[in-house]
Amino acid sequence: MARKLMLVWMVTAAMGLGACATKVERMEVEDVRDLSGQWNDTDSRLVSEEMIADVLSRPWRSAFEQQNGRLPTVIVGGIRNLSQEHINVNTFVRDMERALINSGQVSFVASSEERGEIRGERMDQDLHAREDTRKPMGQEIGADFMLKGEINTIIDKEGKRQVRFYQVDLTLISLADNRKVWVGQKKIKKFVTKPSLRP
Amino acid sequence: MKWQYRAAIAATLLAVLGGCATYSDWVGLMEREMAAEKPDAALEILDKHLDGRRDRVLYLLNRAMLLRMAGRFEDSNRAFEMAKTLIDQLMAVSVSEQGGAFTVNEMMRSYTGEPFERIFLHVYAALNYLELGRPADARVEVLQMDGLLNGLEEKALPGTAFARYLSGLVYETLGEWDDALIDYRKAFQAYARYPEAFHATMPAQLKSDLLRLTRRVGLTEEYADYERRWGGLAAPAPDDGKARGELVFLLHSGLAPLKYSENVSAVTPDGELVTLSMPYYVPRAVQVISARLYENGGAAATQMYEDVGAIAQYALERRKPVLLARAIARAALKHEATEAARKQDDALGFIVNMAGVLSERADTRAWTTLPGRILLARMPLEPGSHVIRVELKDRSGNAVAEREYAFDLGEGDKHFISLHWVGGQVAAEGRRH
Repeated sequence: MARKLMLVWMVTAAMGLGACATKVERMEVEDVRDLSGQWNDTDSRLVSEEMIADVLSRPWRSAFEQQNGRLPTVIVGGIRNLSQEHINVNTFVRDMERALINSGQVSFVASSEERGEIRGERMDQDLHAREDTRKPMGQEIGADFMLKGEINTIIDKEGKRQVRFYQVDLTLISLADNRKVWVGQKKIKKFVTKPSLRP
Repeated sequence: MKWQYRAAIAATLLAVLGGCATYSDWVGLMEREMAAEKPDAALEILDKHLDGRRDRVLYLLNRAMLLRMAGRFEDSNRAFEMAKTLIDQLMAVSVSEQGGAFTVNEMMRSYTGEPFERIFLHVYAALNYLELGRPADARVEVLQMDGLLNGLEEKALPGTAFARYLSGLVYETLGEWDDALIDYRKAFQAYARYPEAFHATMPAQLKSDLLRLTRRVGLTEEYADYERRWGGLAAPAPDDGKARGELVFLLHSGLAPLKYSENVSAVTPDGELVTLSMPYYVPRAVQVISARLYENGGAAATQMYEDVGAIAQYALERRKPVLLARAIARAALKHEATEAARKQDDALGFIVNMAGVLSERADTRAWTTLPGRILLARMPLEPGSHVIRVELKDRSGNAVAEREYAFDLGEGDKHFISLHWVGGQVAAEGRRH
């Protein structure tokens, strides 16, 4: 009897403890799981996929190559977040950068924020590095195009329901003559219903 | 038990319970550290004491404010973000908490903040970003706040004026003149609606901002209208492009009022004690009521932009009928329970009655690390290095303290500086009344 009671107690205890343990479940990066309805990894991925496919299939690149006989160089400019959320734009910008560089058809130069550190290092080399490994100044490659963009949202809300609309616009602008050579756009729309009750 | 005895016990209980503040002594300790400008020490006290599951939002709001006072703007915004997410989740009505609030007391509900407090959450998050030099992120806060502000403005509730002004300021920082003008106009309307009792009347600065921006975007008719209305006001110097910069100095003075619980009790003819609890605010004295900014030759003075204490009191007054109705419903339920228990046993009835009375308490939770008043000064400056001396003044015009700020200003930039001044006496005074 006592043993039986002990067993029951142990099972109950185990069940109680089981509920407390942190549960981790591995997911594929492509898996979609929307929790709050806010901007998330899936949105970022959808944007980068769309933009990459679009930017690589358009004629701006071949036109540039024909005219200049070399690959175009791109710099990432400001991506303005005009939405109602603190959105990390770096995720899809980096995705695009990677896809474009790896396609071998476009080269990128460091953006204005990144190059400060590089220049500092070059300055440092000037003082401390061996002469044959020293990188001279004034040899940077000037970009041909600048990638700029913005994220906008429109949120329509009524009680517990809302429609969230995101629009991401990216533009590639020629630095020589301000021409817009490519405009990419991705729209995402979600219908979110918030619970009206909780335990 | 004779009813006289019961009445005697009830009277004793009342004496014990009367005017009890739910906030205990640790708040006084925390506020003393804040007054001594030791936000880190205050944070330690807060961490140790406020840990209730239903007080989580309150904890995060206070924590964010103290982190901000310590100059840890990023950490502060992390806490604000957590508070936002939690408030969003708590907006769904909880079945169990609702039951508790209906039968026991209002404290059984998770704290989600007064509507005006939810506005100030965004205001201070935006200020954190502005002080970090990230106006684009402040813009996100402004957009999030816009929906809440519209809701309050529809109900003509106060607490929107400064938030609107700050929104305009954020847009102006980003060079979005149209949007800036729209929010300045809304701030103007909000100030115009504020009752006389509020110390925040229309800031003269707002008038000149409206004049400046209507001229800038070319709304000549509106400009002429404002000029006619405020004939005496000096027309602002015409905009000379983006050449000059500006210092925006904010003084957050004093602390928001504390909430107390007031009990109204009566003994029924058959000896049952009935108690209703209602919350009320006790305003706190604000030590520093203005500041002057000096830089060799130039000077500027702060203007009053928001009286948080007055807003809190006004908002509570507007909500009182609802709270009273709920308190009465609760008293009726407790009476039913007492009756049912008494039918079984007289003593049990008495115990249930006392339990009901003892548990009856108004919700006295409030975001009390908010300042009592918000003051602001704008000072146009040439680009370059600056050292600004700030003099804090009390009611009789005496200088209470001095601060010095050194910073570099870029062309057309706005530099934001905040000073939280709790004031020596305030914390201690507000405790007892």
